[in-house]
Amino acid sequence: MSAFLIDLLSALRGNRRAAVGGLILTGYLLMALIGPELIPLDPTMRYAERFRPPSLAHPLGTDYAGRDVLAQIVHGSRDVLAIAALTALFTTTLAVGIGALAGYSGGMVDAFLMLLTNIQLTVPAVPVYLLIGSVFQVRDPVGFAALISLWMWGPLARAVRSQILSLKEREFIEAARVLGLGTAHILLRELFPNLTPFVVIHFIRIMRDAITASVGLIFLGLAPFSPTNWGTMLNLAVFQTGAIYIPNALHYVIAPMAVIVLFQLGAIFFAHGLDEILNPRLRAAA
Amino acid sequence: MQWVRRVLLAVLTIWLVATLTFVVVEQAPGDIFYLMAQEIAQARGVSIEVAYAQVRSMVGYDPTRPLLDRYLEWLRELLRGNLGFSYFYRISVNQILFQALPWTVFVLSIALLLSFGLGVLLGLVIAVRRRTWLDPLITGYASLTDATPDYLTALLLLIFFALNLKWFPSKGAYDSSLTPGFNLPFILSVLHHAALPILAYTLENIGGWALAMKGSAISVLGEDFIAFARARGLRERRILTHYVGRNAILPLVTGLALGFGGMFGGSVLIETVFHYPGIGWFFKFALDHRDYGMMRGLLILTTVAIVLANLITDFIYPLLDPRIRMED
Amino acid sequence: MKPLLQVRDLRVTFDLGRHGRLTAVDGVSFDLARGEFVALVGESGSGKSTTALALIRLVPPPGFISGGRLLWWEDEGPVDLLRLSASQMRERRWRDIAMIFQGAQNALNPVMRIAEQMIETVRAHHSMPRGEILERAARCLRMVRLEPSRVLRAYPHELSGGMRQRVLIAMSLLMNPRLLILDEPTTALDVITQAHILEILREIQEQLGLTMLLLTHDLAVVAKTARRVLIMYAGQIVEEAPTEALFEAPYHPYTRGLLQAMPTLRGDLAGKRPIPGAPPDLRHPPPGCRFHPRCPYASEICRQLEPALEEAGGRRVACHHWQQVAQEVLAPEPYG
Repeated sequence: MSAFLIDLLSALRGNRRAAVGGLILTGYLLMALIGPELIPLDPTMRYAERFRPPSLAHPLGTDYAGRDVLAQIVHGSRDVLAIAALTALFTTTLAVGIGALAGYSGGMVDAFLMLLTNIQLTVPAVPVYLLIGSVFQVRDPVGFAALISLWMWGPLARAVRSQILSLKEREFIEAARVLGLGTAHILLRELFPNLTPFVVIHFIRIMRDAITASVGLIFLGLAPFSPTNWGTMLNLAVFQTGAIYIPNALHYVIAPMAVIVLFQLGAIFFAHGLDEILNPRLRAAA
Repeated sequence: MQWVRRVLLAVLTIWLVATLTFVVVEQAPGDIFYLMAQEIAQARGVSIEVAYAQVRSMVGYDPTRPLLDRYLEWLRELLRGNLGFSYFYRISVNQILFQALPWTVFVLSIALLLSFGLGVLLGLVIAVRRRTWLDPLITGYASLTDATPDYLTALLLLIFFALNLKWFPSKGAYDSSLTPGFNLPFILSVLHHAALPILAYTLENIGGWALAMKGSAISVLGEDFIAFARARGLRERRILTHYVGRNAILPLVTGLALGFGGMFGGSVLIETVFHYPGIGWFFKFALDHRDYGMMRGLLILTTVAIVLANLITDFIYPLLDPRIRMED
Repeated sequence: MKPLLQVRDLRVTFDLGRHGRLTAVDGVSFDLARGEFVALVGESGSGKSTTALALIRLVPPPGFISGGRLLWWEDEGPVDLLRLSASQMRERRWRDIAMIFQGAQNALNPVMRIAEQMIETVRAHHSMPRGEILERAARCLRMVRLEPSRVLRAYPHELSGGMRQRVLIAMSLLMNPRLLILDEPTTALDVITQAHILEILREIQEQLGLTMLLLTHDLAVVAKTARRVLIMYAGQIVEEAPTEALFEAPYHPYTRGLLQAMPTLRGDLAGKRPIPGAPPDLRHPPPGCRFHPRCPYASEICRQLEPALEEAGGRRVACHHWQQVAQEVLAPEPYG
């Protein structure tokens, strides 16, 4: 595992796209980790200063209550990234578990799990999230992350399953079985390390999808538990304060949008670059 | 009999989804029917028991009966095409759907056609002419739209084209002062109102289709039969359409149903942004009013639509690729 | 005999970017006369396929024709194919010169029926009514011993490998070309189908009187079909002779090596010897004669001076020691 990481870091230096993406992602990580300590959030409402355009005092302007937009973005980043990371964690665990179980067991277990996977892939996520989320009243980040991960594990589960299926027949697995090593051992020590590269790539994709989904759901008003979440900012801007109808208030609407798109771009570049590194065939093509 | 298996799988999928939604809604806190009965008792000045009986007859099943009975009755209703009951509007979901579904289908179909059709053409062009400015432009555009969630694309369009420039309306499916029918003002108004939602879907998806086609076309271009077509003296244009195009598009066709499904899911967000009265908008409305009945009905409907779309593409694909026909 | 195609000093180069440049065909010259059956022999990597592709100007990038002339004799006189515009060349493809590539398993469009592909082939050159085209196609299919009613309706994947190969041959006859080039038409087919196809090729050539250029690495195929043989090695022609003469007494050490390495149905393998070593890397070809590192007759002059193709009694050979080679008659094993 550590050898893989060392190879990865040195390969990253050579690939420009991955480097740019990685830089952006690191920037966001820093913003989430230490940003809120550096830029305090002042919740006092000063209606006299509402929707001020960007200035030195307020680099991204002020919102409908005269509060600094940049501070909200920075504080919101912690929330958004935490949810994304949690979701990716849950989703990956679920997907790897289901995929490995299906691939390794075969038979009825496999058929049943694949039926579930098919359903997850066919039925669109947003309506499911809304239905389940409104019935079960999501009130905290962990619950929210769990909800989102419920309908996100399909693609990775399928990929893990086919990997396991192809690895299952290879000699070193036969050897392990002959040596009498148990299923758990085979799964953990022999099969899983081979999965690491593309699980990493999927992890990034899942984080991306998680941000899109979580912000979108909060935007729709599903889980209103965080006041600075970028989705909440959008919800307030579009539905509750009418900011979109006020031409001068556009910065308040655009700021969260831009910050989301930039993160996604960073993740896309990083994942592309990573893919090129791990699949050398792609490097030659374009 | 491949298709029998597929149909069975489709039915199984719908049944499982329906059952899951039934179970989920059963967990809803509070007795919805009791609340409704209270409202009716107040509004109509009748006793709670009478009101409750009225609710029961409206909803179509008796909430006091045991779970399994309720489930079976609900399932039976479903098989008859009854998608359930809207708790808020107190009419059947089918009635709402009758009004809302056509709008969604209208917008989605045009959007799918546009994004797929144009995307595939663009992809083909950049696959064949590798060194023009078009290639990095489209690849960059695809990355950008990939990074932008569909609701943000919709919001941007709304803000700039509807609210700022006022070129397009920001609400509704048509101008309410017009009478619906096959008259020109109405049709134009419909198109005017549908333009931005359609644009939102199209802009969001066209990049993906273009890149997919590009990849497929590039691999087809390396095949022997392309070189042999040139050796036979066929004109480049014919090779492009009948040889590259027709072969490259095949793997994308299976993605059409998936794309359609994704758009259905996105309709909740996009129709909300544009206040467009399709089933997506009604879903959000149901969310706001805790109308689980409507949410459930619409979710089942969405599932049925997507499963149908999948079946149709499964059926169409062998018609396009003669190599697959042999399996039947 | 009337000349059909005169290849003069053909050169094809491949630009491999940072891996350098490779001249796959280096100054190749030969003539093809009307109604001849000629074989072009060489191992894979010898440049024979590239030569053939160059004749119809379909060398795939990063390769390009870097020199030479291709004098194609039409009724009005010779035309340098390399000087024609792209569309002028396209007109001549298949109508005048048809080429069937190696590994023709995937040569047909998988989503179109055979009949459609026949029709579009002719339509690319003449506008002719469908019925007439299909009649022609039927005739050509019968020439290769295929049943038209069955084959025309079919899709490529519904036919066997051997049938597909014959369909390609039939397709090549549609426009009555004057030159038909076949690159390894029988490799990847079983021995019985091989014999079948070769028989058909012979028949066609005799009946229609067209010129056939057959590319192969298998001398057995040559013996059964061609009247004249060209031997290619490392991008150059090293020997040219009528078939019988070549088999009786090869003048070039490489040809000799090929014949000696050839297993036959009757003889035992004990006397068979493959040629030691491997073909050279054409990015850096050896100095002097390109065969010298593997040649038992090699001497100092071979290492320094590239031998030119000399005339030698109705034959051509590029070797400093050909007289010596010619005198050493091959061990008796009459082929055929």
